[in-house]
Amino acid sequence: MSIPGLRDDEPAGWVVYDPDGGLVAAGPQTVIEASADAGEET
Amino acid sequence: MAAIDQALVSILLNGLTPTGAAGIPGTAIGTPVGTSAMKIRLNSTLSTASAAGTDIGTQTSGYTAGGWTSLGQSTASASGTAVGVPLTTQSFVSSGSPTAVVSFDLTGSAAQRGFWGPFNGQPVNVASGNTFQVTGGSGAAAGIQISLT
Repeated sequence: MSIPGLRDDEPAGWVVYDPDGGLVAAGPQTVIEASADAGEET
Repeated sequence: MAAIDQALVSILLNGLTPTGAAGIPGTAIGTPVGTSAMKIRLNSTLSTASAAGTDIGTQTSGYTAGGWTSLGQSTASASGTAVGVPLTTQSFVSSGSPTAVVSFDLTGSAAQRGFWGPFNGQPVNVASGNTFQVTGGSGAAAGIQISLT
């Protein structure tokens, strides 16, 4: 499926559809790279 | 990027170091998030390392306050690979309140926090009657990829 805003080789992370099933918006995967610094940027 | 609850950081550290009685490993990893099926909680505000965002609450259909259930069994991490969630595609039909999805928390069945993060492109506006969906899949195909560095 080709989704506006996404490269063809980029999987969709989330998608919004209207009640008729039409594509409203989509976004790329959410990639969480957790680290043990727990928010303390150095 | 930090994306793990601070309490869970400590649990992981304690479970892997001699912080228990007489130098045994501390709290066993596995208990912090319970032993029942996990959930994906959706929030209308941004979660932080200390607290979850505001739950979007029960919607017209597909989402009950507390989070999506029946996520399916994600492919296990091996040799440090990321874990993709959910295995099964999740969706809800919006009631229009709130109007946006901002972040998520991966929680235990009793709302114990684990990993969290903002959705790419947030806030995601979901008008009343529209459907918000997070892609399910095995491993790298899933809509949310979680790794620990």
